[in-house]
Amino acid sequence: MIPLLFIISIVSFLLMTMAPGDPTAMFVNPESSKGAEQDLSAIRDKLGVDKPIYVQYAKWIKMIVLDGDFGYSFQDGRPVLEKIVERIPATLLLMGTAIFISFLIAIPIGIYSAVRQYSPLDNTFTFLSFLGISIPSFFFAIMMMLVFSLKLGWFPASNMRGDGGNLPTALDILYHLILPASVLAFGLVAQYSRFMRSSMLEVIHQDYIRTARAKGVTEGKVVFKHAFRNALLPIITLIGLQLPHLFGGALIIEQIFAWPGMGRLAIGSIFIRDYQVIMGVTMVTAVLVVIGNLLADILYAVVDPRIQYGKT
Amino acid sequence: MSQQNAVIDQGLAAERQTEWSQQGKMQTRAAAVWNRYKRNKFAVAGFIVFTIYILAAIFAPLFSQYDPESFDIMDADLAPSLSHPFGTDSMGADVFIRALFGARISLSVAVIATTVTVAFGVIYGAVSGYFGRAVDMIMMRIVDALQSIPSFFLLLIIAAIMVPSMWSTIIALSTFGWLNMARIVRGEILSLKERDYATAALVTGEPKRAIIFYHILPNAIAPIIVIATLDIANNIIAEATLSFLGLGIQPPTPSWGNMLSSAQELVTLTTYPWTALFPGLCIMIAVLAVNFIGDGLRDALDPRQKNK
Repeated sequence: MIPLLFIISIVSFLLMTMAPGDPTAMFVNPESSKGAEQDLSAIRDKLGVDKPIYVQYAKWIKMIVLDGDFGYSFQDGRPVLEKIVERIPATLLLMGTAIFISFLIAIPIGIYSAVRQYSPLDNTFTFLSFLGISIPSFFFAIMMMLVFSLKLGWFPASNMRGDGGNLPTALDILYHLILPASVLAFGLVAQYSRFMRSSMLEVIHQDYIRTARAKGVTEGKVVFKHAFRNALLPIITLIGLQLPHLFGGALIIEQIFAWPGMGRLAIGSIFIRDYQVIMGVTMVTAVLVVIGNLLADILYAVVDPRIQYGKT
Repeated sequence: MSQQNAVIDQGLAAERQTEWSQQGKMQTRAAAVWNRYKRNKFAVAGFIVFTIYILAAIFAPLFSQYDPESFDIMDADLAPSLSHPFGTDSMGADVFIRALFGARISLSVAVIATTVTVAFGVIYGAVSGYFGRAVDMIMMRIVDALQSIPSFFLLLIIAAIMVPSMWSTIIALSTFGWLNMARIVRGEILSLKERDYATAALVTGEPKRAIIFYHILPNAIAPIIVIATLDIANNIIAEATLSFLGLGIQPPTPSWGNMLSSAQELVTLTTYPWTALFPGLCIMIAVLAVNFIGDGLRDALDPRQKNK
């Protein structure tokens, strides 16, 4: 885990230093040339951008590890970590809701498709899931926004709160959350229902299922008690592995729906070349992904008594 | 001695082959694959649709009297009609012809980027899988680390570093697009290198390069083709998303993604929805077709892994 984060830090740092465009330029007014060069070199000196790359990297990583200090945003001078931390809840709320919705829909679909394999409804679901992975999320988001907020006016098209009238804050946020979370969930349902289907199919052909059927257990019990619980296990790991993908998806949805999460911060920072923030978001996202995978592993061990970490 | 044997065996095999195929008992591998492929109706449909796309992209200039980069402000924002089947955009350009020329750009970018990532991913995965141990450990840790960062995030950063153009988009898609391929190929090689024929090649003293690329890799061709096909689909979406955000192909050059950019303004979206709808559908249908092709190939190339 630590070496993983170490490599991630090197990669994100290298990417940023490769970038052309001088971030110090915005500190100096190009109109007043007098003393500008001096000011510039003073700023460069202070930010350390004129030192060799490995020196800059060492300084940067030392600050993060020792003080949890990701530096300051070029844009407004605020600490990067502070800017990121205030955005994390919005992103996690969006992603969490999307995962929850997609589970509610994808798991029944997956079970049905496996039990009634190649039935007309299974084929329909297969086609729909292909549609789900083939539609670009930004296009789907725009179309949903067009229909549900601009034409029908059911949901607000952007932001996290505000248009809800006199609703209490939590309901207001929920009101704003429904559309972006459903759009994000749509793509997830397509993937998760396929995972669930193949995982179920794998389990359903096992000997113990045949045994259960042979001893006269009802079909419903076989499916839900014997097969379903075992089929759910691999899904946990898969969803852990899908996390980076989910962050990427959330990024676009946040941008389109003006959802004030980390993704929107990241895109905004990329456009104005705010390197410190970009590096910070990259690192924080990677840490969240690694933690997510760890949680998936732990959850797996909790659900599956056959797995015990630390004992072989 | 051994060479002589090989020649005799080959002669014999060729003789049998002609004999059997004359009697209709034998199928070439390609024919067998095609037979299995055509049983999947969606895959066949995907193949036909994608062929139409390619033809439309190649013969784009023949289809319409309008120029994709000619803007006539008098004709701005016209609804779809017979003379403008997809309508016109806010600059007065014909959306249909821009979508056709967009197909050229979008499909070339996806195919070129995929070619690069396949080449690099296969080599990376093969080397990592074949040499194993410390080499594999280090090479795969790097892949692990890069895969922990959302790939779209990396894509955005790379694209933002460069001045946006067609080639910068291809570079952005290629830089980290090979990770999945590398991982899959490495897994294949890891199991294939233990097979007897690989050991046989090793004891006859063939160089490692020849063993990897001549003896082992051809046996991993099925997953490589399938992943490459799905990579094309993903790259079409990725290019569109980058261009949509303004980090990919730049107007006036048409790409499906940048044709949707204007729809980011809510007024445009509500009043002139066709400027967003048609390019979006173009992307969706193209990606759907490629995904169906990939699915069909998966079943056709590896009958053992018959769709569960």
